[in-house]
Amino acid sequence: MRNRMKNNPSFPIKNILVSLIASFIVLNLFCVFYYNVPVHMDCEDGSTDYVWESNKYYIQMNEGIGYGKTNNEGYMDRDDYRGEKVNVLILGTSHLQGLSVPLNDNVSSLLQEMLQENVYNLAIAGHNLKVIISNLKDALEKYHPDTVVMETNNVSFTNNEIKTVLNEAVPQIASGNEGLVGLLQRSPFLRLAYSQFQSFIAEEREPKKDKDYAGEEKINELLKLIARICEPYECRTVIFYHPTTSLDHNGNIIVNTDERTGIWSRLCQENGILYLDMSEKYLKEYRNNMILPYGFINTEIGTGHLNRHGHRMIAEELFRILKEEN
Amino acid sequence: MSFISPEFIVFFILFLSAGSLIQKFSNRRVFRIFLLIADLVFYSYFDYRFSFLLLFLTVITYFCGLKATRKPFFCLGILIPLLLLGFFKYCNFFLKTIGFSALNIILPLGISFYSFEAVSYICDIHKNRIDAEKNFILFASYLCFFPNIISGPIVRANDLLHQFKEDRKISMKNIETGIQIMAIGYFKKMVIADRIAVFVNDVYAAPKAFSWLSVLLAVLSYSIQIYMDFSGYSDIAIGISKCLGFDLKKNFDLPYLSGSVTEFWRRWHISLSSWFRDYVYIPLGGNRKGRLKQYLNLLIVMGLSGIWHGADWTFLLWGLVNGLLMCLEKPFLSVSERFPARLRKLFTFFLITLTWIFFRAENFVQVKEIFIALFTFQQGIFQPYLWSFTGFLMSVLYLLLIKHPKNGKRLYDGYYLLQDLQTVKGLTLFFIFIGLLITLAYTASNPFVYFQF
Repeated sequence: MRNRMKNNPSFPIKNILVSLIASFIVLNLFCVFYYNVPVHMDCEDGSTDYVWESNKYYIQMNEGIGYGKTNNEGYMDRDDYRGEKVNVLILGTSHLQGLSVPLNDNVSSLLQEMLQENVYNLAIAGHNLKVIISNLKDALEKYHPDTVVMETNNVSFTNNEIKTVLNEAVPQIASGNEGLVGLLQRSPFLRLAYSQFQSFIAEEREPKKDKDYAGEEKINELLKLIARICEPYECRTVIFYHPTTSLDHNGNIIVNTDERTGIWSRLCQENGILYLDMSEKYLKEYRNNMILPYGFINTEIGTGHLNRHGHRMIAEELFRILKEEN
Repeated sequence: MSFISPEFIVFFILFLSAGSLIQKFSNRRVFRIFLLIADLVFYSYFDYRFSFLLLFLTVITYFCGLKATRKPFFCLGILIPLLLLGFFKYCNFFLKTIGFSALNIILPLGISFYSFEAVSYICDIHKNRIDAEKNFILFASYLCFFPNIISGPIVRANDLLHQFKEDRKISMKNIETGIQIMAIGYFKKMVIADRIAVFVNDVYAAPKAFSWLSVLLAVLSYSIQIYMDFSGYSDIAIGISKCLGFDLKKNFDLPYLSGSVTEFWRRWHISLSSWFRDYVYIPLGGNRKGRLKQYLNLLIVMGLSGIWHGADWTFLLWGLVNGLLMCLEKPFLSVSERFPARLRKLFTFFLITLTWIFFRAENFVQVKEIFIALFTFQQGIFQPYLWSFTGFLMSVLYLLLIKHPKNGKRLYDGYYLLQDLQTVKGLTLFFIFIGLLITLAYTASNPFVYFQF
């Protein structure tokens, strides 16, 4: 039975404004418990392109369930930094940042437990190996770690990409904490709505053409640069690579290891850099425990960011190679 | 353009604005022409070549309809849409079955729906249920009506044609109702169906990888997914039509509350099941020629319904399994009344859920793997997918809200829980609902399930 509404409904502006404000408040309250990530702030010392708002509680339930509190410097490390000795410095991407897992379950927290040493997590979203290398000197200058660990999920760089790193021309990621954008970022609902909108209109990236990929010579130049930057600080250098995974129809894991990983392994050795490829570990864990390193209980399995198992696998492998080296 | 694309939002806003101006300053005839042009623009957006086929069928059906009381034109009016449907949709299926390679045929979007509308129009004229529409623009507006042309509902001529002749307007009152129905549809599709689809797709793509519990959860989740996906689309179509001032009948009537498979098919995809009932089952004799003939008719109708959904053996088997269940339960329907209603509903839901395995699987190998996983308690990846539980809870919550509406709550068509947008409270709740839709929607691509039909 249909209910009748007024024949000529009117919508006073005052009603609309009051409703918009009330609903905005409620939606922000909802997002405080569903998706509330800190704002990007400027990084004064250049260790990373930006930092998060410091000492801020965060929660994220869009991909996995991640929660914690940023430290005094705005990084997702469970300990504040007050100038103490850093044994292992982690430079990485959104994977190692660990927004999708509880703070105590990310690589740096687990590795710290295993090593019983100070592991400091400088991994931050939006960074990749190019950005990491461009910030490497500043990070080492500030923290003087015994070991620096650099994460990458890609070992296929184009000639142009390596050229920008060698020429120190890697574009910086803006913090966006000023002006209207900075103000709007304070609203968890607007942050999430913007992220949803970007995802909705995003087009699939076309795969790079083969002819663009850098050869051995260029990769060697890049690794020599890393070695040159690290040398004055006398720190052990680790690069670890974690490929993506998927499942085939028969339920077997496919680890999408880049064919260039062999070149990276050999050249890293020649340049005195420890190289770790997670492919074998991923295969072994799946065969023994039916566990995948990516995907969550609210997303596609085997894809996306590192889940708790992925963080644990990487921490275990890093622990293994660091202990072997010692 | 899909209903969940930015292009459609722009198209719809422009259409409403221009349409209301035309209605205000011009006459009904001009608006009908404008509506027809908009229908063709909408349809052509997918592929302009499809619109030539649609126009061809519209012209043929219009002229056959004028003479459909006579047998030759009646036969022509039935055969041409069915032949077109058969060629575009089933030609490759038959060629592959007999061992030939497939032809390069693109399936025109919505052909399964508008060809059935054309057939029902001709049949209704032949049976003197309706008169032939002499105004070509009016008839074309009916067959090409953009809200339902791509994925239904299948609308009968006598339900819609007369509305085009009435003084129906794009008004704030209609938009107030229509936009809320659309929002409900978008929520069902983009939040519940699309989120659940991620998990269901994972499991069906690699059934051997998952534990039996995960497979069971995926099978149950698909029941929710397909209902939310398809009924969500119907809601959007109904809501869009309402904004334009037209009323489409509801296409789903809480089907998972059915106490038998027979009842389920009276509540699920009502426009299609009633089409098959009126134009296939009853002409075949229905239940008027004895029990055995009735069973045969049921199997034929459900088999055809299955194959309508997709040109594949799994769809045919799905239809036949449903037909078989309807036949098997017939002698026991009166006996089953003695059992508690909840038990009957739960059992029916369980049966329907199992039949969806045939519908969702891409081939018989997948069907086999799913059943093996379930009944051998297969070990594997355990994935307690959160959105399956969330989707189920949301469904139960909505059901409770509509079953027990509080004073002041409005139930449109016995199903849609609408707010009074002229009050601050109603408007606030509506904006919150839209905000939740924006924040929770799955934003990667997931086309409507019935798009492919």
